[in-house]
Amino acid sequence: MGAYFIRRVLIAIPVLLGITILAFLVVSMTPGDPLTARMDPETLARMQAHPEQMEALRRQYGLDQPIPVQYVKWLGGVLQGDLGYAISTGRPIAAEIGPRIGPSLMLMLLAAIVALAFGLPAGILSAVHQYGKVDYLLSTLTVLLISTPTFVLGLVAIYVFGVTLNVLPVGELYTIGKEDDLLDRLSHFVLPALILGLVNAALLMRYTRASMVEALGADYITTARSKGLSSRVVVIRHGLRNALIPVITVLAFLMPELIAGAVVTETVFNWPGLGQLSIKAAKAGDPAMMMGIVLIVGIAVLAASIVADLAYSMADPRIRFDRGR
Amino acid sequence: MRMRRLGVLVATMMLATLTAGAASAQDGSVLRVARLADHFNFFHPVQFQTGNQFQWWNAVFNTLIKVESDSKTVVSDLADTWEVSEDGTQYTFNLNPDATWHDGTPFTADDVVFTINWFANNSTLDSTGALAPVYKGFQPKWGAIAGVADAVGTLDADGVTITPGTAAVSGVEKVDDHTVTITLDAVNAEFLTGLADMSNVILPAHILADATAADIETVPFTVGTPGVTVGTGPYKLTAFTPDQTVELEANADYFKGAPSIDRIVFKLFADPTQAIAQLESGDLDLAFRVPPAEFDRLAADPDLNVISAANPGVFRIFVNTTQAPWDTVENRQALAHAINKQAIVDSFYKGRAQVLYNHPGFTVYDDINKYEYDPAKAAELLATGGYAGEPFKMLYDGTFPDAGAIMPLIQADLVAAGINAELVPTDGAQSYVDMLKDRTNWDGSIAIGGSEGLSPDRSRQYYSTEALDTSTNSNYTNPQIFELWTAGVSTVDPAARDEAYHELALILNTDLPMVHLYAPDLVMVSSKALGGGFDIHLNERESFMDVETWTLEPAA
Repeated sequence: MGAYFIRRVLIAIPVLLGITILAFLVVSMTPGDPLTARMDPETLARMQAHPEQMEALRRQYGLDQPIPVQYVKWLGGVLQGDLGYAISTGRPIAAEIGPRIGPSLMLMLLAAIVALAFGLPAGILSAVHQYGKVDYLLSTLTVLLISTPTFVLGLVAIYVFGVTLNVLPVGELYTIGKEDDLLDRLSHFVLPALILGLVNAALLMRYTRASMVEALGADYITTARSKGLSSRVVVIRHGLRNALIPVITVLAFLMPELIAGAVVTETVFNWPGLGQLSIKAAKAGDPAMMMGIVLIVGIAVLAASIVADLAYSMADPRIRFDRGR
Repeated sequence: MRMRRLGVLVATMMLATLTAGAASAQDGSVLRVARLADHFNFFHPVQFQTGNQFQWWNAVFNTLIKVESDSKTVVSDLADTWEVSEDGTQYTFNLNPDATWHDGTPFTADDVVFTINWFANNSTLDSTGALAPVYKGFQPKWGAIAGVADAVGTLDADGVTITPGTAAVSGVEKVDDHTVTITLDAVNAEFLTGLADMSNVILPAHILADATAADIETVPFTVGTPGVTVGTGPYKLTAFTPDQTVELEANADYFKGAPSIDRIVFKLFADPTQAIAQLESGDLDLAFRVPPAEFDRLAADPDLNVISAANPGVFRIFVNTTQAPWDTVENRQALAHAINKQAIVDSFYKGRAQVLYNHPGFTVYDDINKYEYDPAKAAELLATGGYAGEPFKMLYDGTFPDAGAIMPLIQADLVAAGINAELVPTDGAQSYVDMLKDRTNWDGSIAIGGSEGLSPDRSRQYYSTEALDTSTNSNYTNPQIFELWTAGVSTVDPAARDEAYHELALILNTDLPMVHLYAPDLVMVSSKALGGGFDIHLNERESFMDVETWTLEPAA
């Protein structure tokens, strides 16, 4: 088990390197220039009038070097623990990313809990009552959730619950003036976690349903029923445990889904997380900042896939024992 | 074991999320503000690039003088009174003796001298002899002071490091602790009003004395550190979370009197939708630059005041005056007659924009040709100009908001008048700037923004003394216009200034190197609870200049 884990981690390192090279190439090919992108027209006019000064500015940020040189410099810095400085704030990028990990992590965790709490039972119910009224109702609901863009759901939720009914906050982490009110802070999580969670719950529901239907159709289920076991025991102890194995794989994909969804959710709710930062970095065209985010997200996704692999091998004894040989 | 430590780390980060900002919880009135435009996370004029910084700094720092809400009438700030010499080149400022920095250190003339000397010593001269200022964004008036060129530093061989100069600027003199004299190179009528701009903020010598150009952007003062980022203004910085909030607290010892509102929180939004929702839910009290499309809905809200204000930045077409057939003035005039500016204002901006007839900032004189929408007249002029169907390629940054909606409207108008208009969008600001350099790429280039509306002198930078200078946006040149611009600032007599600007306006109006289209309105929204001296300035960035006089009614 330990050897397997170490092997997976070692393989992940060149994968991560490859991700950073690809990301750097894409980032350097994007249109836009971090220096002029946010310049006021008056400043731009002045810079254009003095091209020498524009060049000096470019040199200062290391943007005059060829791309491979810029990449090697960046990589060298990362290996020493230095992610560089953000052009738009002058602060170290690690200081920009650090405080944002917590909010994003909390949001994704709560959204994952929502997704599991709604998706799994819904999938099981649907499979057990296949083609019944419950199944059709839940299936329609999930298709609706999957096809409606996250920002539409978010905006509708904000306007219904936040503005019209005024029962929930419209965004951000806390209300100014109520900074030490824990209940208020928790209420700020409700809408974003629900929106991000429900969309993923819908996805999870469909996979669970399909997997359950297949498991419930297997021979050993018929055997269990003919043994006289109650319906509940059959479904949960025999059906669900086997149905969950492919679902665990899907859960591994939940992580990138949550990250991608978080970008939109965080923008809609003005949530101070990594998703919002990545939009900011992209708009500013700041290469070092974008690379910093790619690195963190890349590590997170690779870690999640390793965890999923381990969980999978633990859940399915066939995999565990096969490997022993 | 490792898992548990990771778990603890994760739990700590999440706990931090639940407690972030708790330290600033307080009673008292709090004004929550948002300005829906870009911001830079710096508290030093070396990186002063945005209107948002202007607003924060107005609450925390001071300049020598301020302006009233018309953005022109000069009133006192750190300087109580001032005298101007007979010849108009020397200003003597008498500084307020009660002003102190937020850390208790008294404010003196030394701080003024320091600010100006630091600017000069850390700037350099480029190979053409022009000042290469250390401030990277908006420029202060210090460059106009006598002796600055002799006090500059030098650029090292690596082209990046600056060795600061050591000479003091001869044009600045401390007379005593509360009096300072500034001598200019030449008379400049815009000097005094220009000092109200926050690039002229007076900096604390006792904090920044050891900083140089190399580290100024990363020192604690510049990145926003409570206790280190001190000013002399009505509010002190208590917390700064970059890209999220700027939190300020009233300075009870403010030399103009303690402010009435206890706290101000500037909220930074990536997306205007959140801000609008917060205005409606009561979580935001004041918002600047709300999209004009929201005007009607917000105006219907009983708790909000919605104001439409003029925008000093504009939408215009620079014409390539050296490329046939656009070097013929009749063809350019035809362009102006062909575009239905009012229709664009009505349909796209729902009436919330001002049609322009000449450079904003200039008075719309009676004898200005308004080039009214008249396609027949346009056709006539094209015939006179000998237009033979050549393309009119319009270059613009395709990423500017509303580009996709407005440019086709303009193209349609031109085509209807018989002009072969083509759209050439670029995919960003840099490619726009690059393509601009090759004059064969475009016949007309669209530029939006700037702040020409604030004074006639602000339009000068768009012209160059050499025709094919690729550095400016316009190819048009005419020695007379520069003489007139100089004449406009080198006297303080309003009548003489107006005469020069009038003549200048007529020349530009007749030769038409630029076709001005419109200036979209800016929409400001404020809660009805905000009162006292609160007012929106003509230059809305300046609105916080008298924030200490504002009042906020307690929430019901």
